[in-house]
Amino acid sequence: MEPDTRLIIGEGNVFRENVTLNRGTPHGGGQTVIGSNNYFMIGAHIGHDCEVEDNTVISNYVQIGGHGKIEGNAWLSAFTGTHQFVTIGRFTFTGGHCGCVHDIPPFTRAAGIYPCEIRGINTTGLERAGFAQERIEALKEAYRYLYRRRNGKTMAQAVAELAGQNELDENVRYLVEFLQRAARHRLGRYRELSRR
Amino acid sequence: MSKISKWALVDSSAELGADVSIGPFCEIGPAVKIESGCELMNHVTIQGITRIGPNNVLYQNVVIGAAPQDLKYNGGPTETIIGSNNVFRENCTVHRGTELGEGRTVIGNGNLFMVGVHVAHDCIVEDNVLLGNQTTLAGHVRIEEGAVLSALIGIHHFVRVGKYSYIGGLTPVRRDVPPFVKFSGDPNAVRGINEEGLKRRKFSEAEIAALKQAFRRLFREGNSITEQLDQLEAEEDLVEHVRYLCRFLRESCQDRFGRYQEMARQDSRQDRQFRRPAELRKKE
Repeated sequence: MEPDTRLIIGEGNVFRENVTLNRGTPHGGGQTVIGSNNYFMIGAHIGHDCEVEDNTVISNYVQIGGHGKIEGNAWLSAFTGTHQFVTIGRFTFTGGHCGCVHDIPPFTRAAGIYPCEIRGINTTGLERAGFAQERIEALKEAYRYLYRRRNGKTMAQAVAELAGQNELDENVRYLVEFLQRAARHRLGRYRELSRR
Repeated sequence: MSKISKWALVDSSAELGADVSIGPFCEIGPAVKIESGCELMNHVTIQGITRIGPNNVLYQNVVIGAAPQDLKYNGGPTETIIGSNNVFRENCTVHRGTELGEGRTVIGNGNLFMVGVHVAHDCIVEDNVLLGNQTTLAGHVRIEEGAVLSALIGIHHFVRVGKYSYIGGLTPVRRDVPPFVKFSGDPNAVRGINEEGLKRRKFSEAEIAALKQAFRRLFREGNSITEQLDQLEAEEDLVEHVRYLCRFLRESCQDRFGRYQEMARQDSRQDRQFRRPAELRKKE
């Protein structure tokens, strides 16, 4: 008998030629969920128990491993592959052939074959989505503080310091919280903590 | 004599030449013209305003002339034009042009597209090109004659791949690939003259030697490629191929990302604002 697992798809999505979506597994929560207004280009694959939010663009032959999560407005270029349990943050852009082995923070740009690196803030994507210039600047400043810090601080210390600040920009707050969540897992994959 | 399966859906307005063979579950749209000697195996879909020249072979699940994967596309009447003697293996996809591009995707003659190759909107593929499995061209790409691309290559939009070049597997190509060279790696690098490929294409020893010498001067000597180009181009008795290589490099150097064709892009910043794809916009 077929196990009682599901695939749930929202409205206004486009699925191009040869796209494959797998349904959930009993041990992984039992459902794969696709939101709305996503664009799945040729040959994209979404694995079991994944969660894709809204307005994402998933290019040719992108392979999303099981239990992954793609947050809203992410833009994945061709041949991007993600490890199982990886989360791609909102408004993130990944370059071609990007091998994502741990969570990719929101609003950033990831590139490089395997493993990929965080290269900066996704300025072009944020501008196209209508973000105000000062909000983008706030994110860029946070990026520099976190990734270009060279005053002897570790990433964890830099994140903790930023998190301790009051009056943090809402997007920066989200970025910091995302990094804190990812850091809870040994290999930087927050969703793997809920592995059964 | 044409051989059309009784399970195929061929629109009555489609134009089919003599000796066209169409397998079961194929779907041929109304504005499609297929010339004589073409063989379509099962599950082939041909849409849009598409002209397919004589003697092409299309394997299972090939889709030709579908709408481009471009958020700027507005559903306009753009075209797909395919020459003769091409082979499209399983799952290949060729998309039609966009209004802000050339308005058509053009494929020449005698090309081999292996399994899962994707040719996007407004691309131009010249003659005798070989594309390996799952190799994906982004929009507005131009592949010049005789180029050989291995498997799993992703090509950035507006890139131009020079003639008789070779690209290694898994390469994310971000800039123009010069003609006659081997190209691979991330970050991208020119690895040398494609000697084996040129021999197979019957280039003479003298031509290959001249190209190799030019390669050393351009990529292995001097301070900068533009300086070396100045020196090389000043010489009068250059072999035709070397002159072509110099001109190609000169053009590519003009663009800040090394993609010459991108300098002529016609869309504005406004056009590139994030929007829903045309399929969904027309439903609103």
